[in-house]
Amino acid sequence: MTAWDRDPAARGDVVVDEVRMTYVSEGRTTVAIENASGTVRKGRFVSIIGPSGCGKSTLLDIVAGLTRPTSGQVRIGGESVTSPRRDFPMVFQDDSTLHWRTVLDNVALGLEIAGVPKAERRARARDILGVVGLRGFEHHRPRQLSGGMRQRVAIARALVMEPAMLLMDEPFGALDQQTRTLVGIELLRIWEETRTSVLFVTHDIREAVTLSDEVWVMSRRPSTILDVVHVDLPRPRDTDVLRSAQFEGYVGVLWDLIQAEVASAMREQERAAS
Amino acid sequence: MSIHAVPARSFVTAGRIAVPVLLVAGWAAAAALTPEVATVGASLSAVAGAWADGTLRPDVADTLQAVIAGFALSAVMGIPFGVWAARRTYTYQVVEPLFSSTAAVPRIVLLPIFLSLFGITVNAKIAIAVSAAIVPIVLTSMAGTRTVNPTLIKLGRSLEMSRWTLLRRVIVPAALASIMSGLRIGFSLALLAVILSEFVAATSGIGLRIQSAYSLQQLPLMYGLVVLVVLVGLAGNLGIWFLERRAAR
Amino acid sequence: MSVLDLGGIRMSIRPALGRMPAWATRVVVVAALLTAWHLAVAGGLVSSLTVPAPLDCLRRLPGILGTAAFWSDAARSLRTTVEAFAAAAAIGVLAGALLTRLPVVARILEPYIVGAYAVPVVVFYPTFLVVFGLGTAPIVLTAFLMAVVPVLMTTMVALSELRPTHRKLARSLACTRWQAFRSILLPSALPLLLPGLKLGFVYAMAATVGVEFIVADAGLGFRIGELYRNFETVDMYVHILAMIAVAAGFNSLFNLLERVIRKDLA
Repeated sequence: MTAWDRDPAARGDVVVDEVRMTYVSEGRTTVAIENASGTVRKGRFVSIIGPSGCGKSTLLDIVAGLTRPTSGQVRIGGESVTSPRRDFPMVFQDDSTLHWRTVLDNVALGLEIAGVPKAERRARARDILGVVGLRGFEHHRPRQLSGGMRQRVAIARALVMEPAMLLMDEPFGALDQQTRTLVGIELLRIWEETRTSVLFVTHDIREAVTLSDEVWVMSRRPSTILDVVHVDLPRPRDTDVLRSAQFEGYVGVLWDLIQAEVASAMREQERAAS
Repeated sequence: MSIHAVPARSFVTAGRIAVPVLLVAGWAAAAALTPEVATVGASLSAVAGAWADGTLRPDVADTLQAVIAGFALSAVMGIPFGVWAARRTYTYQVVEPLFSSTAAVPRIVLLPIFLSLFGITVNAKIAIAVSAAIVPIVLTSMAGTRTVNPTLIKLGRSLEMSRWTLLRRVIVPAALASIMSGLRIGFSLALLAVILSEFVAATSGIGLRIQSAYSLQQLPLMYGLVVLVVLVGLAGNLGIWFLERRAAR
Repeated sequence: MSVLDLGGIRMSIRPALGRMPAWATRVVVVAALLTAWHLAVAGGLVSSLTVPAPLDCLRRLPGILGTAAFWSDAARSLRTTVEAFAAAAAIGVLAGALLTRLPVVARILEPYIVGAYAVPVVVFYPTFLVVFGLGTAPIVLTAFLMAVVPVLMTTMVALSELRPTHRKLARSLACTRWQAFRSILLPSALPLLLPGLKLGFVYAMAATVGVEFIVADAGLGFRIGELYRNFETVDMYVHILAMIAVAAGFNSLFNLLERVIRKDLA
């Protein structure tokens, strides 16, 4: 065990410590998250997968400081996350670009809110647009871009904040399959360039394996983190890696873990509906 | 969540009861401060007195007759026209701006035209009520019809509904909320147009009575009649709202 | 390809080729209405003493547009309208924003705000006259009350229809309330807000001219009433037509503004 393994929070690792989340509705208490613990080490790409409605997005909101957990906490550098942090920017599933702003001003939004002077924030936004491959689109408006390009604008808007951790809530969920694959590959390239810590929520197993160093598998409600799968595939994850038997092996392992959960979650929903 | 909602709900009910009480209290306070505002009691008894001695009844009847006739005519002409025009995109594009741009024309300036055509009669009042009420009714009927989910219309077609059945079973129910809001606005605009036209030229009506009470400085009667008009407007809307609830069932 | 398919294609092409732009048809419709009016008067269907022929009105138009009185009347009406509208826009938007922050108060007031549409506010005019005396104050107040209701209502609707993602974005960027409102929420709500402002302006104008018609000493509404009482029928019709043109002009101006801003959004 190395030194920073013993004191992970000191290194900019994000620690999810026994987070529990319950709701009170119609006088009944619903346990959304029974117990979730884990560590996103600095510079690692971590995905959370699980059946729909399992509380993946709730967990992400808690890490972002958007929602307070009922008990437990999220820490970074020994500090507890209790409110939204600008260095934990989020990329959403829906199109969250502001249609009345140019691409450049969309990317600069967070810096503007943080009070960074105009010249500096524009220069930084321009640099990041190069990173996400949107150089030349600075003065376009979001409506003139495809859905995939808009999500890259949202990713750029998050990256420009020089995040301690990037939070992504099914960011490609609203895209069609082909676009989704291409933007996923693009994210892979961007991440390998920036090496930011990422917490990525998805329900797509192949997407999780393609991108991640680690995949957290969540159970159905009341949710816990069932298992953590370390994806030891070489990087860069080029076509050869993504077509390897090893890759398919990881997909198979995750599918086996999640299959039972998805099936019983579905049965539960059907029962609740009837 | 509902644990918190329970006290909030009774709080909302109490608040809703408090609003009219506060309004009347505000009126009473204003009356106490200045002689130019008649007291609540004097205003109500002035109206009650005029009603009891029989002098107010024909005025109320004449005003209501003109408002209801004008409103009904507007609904009977406006809803079918609006739905028809909105079902054809091109017709809609031609017609919609014609109606929406006339919304800014105060109906009262058309009164001289109607007076010259009909004289100082109930027909002039009905005409001005129609001119006021038909515009919002047509506009909301069009808006409601335009926003009917196209999938529903496709569904109706796939079920081989006749045009009439499609209209009756799909389009009108889907557009109903919008049409009803137009009817409510139309009713209050018809009422307003009739009252204002009675201010200017009439042989009877609530508006005429308000105008003469103003000229004769019978302040309690004037305030009381203004409140009466507000109540007529609210009652009409309540009636339309009940119709809407019954139609929605 | 079957015959049926061809029919479908022909049907979809025909309107595109065979039809004039909507505005041109609109001009034709208006021209037809004017022609019908002209024929009705020329044919003796209505007396030209009560209803003048449109051509007579047209001939009189330059004479009236050349008078200082017309422009000072128009300026007076416009000033009153703009004052009432500005107050209604500012107060309506602020109150709407405040009410969305205070959901319990909003729920209490909701039926009354909706009910305010049912109240013909202009009937309060005589009471304002008694309290504030003659002058523009009662007119501005009446027009303000008419205009503030649609502005308030559309503000509340526009803010409640805001995309949840935009709200979440504002929170995740740790915006202050003012930053969230100014940079994200207000521009996002603008396309829904504008029609309410337009309606507010329309109501303010209608109330202003309407009240002027009944009791005032200047303004377009007053002039129309004056001409009516003096039996100057042609001049009265010209003023009514001018009033309709001004109203339609402002309507188009708002539509243009809407389109410019929406294109900006697009």
